[in-house]
Amino acid sequence: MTKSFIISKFTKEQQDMLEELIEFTDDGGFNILGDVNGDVNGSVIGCVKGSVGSYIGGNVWGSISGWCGGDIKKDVEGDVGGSVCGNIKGNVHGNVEGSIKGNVLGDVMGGDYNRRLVEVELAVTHLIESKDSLDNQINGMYGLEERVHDAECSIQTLEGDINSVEWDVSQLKESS
Amino acid sequence: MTKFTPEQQEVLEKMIEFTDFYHDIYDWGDAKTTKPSLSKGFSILGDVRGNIHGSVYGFINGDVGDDINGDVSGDIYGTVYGDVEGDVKGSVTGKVGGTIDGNVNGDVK
Repeated sequence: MTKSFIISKFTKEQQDMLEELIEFTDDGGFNILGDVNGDVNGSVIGCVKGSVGSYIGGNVWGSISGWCGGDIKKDVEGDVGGSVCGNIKGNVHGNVEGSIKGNVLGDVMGGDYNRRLVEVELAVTHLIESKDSLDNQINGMYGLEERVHDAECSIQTLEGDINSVEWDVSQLKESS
Repeated sequence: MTKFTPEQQEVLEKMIEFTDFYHDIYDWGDAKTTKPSLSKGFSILGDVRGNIHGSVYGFINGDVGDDINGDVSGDIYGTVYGDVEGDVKGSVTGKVGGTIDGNVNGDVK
């Protein structure tokens, strides 16, 4: 690297900071070895090893290891390791391993949904069987009521017979 | 004396602008609010054709060509082609191509 005497537009302090922070690469680009306490009014062709304190106007071609505090206006092609606290206005092509606390206005095509559907169908079948069983029991109770009524009638008949026999007996005793 | 060549110095003088930098600190508590903060720093007026080993406290107006190893406090106006390993505290307007390991607290339209 050539060392030259240059009249800089920067103050000595600023120039020292740049010399500490900026490392030019062989292809004409440069790396910044620390923080940018300001904006990047263009793109960053490589990576950002720290955070971005405000918005990103374009795409992120790699991954984000932390969270995203704002909205993502287009797609996330990969996974979201945490939660999405807002809405997703497009599709989720993979799984949601937690809960969806809002509504799903489209279709749920995955296996979990089908499993829950089968479970619901089984529960409905079980409920229908339980209802049939209760109906049978109620029908049985109606039959029981009829039998009780018949028995009461028989008892009344028997009581009439007993009274009749007792009257006959008393007549026989008087005549003897 | 400087470690830069005249060409490199010229690039820096075109691209680097030292400023008193006001930036928004996002507070993702109960409400999405911002608090302005003042500090001395510099902005870059063009593309960084390399890596940034630290953080960018302001915005990045264009793309980030590779990974971001930390958080993004604001919105991302484009697509994230990789994974987001933490939460998305706002909305995703497009699709999520992979899995969401946590909850979706809003609607999926």
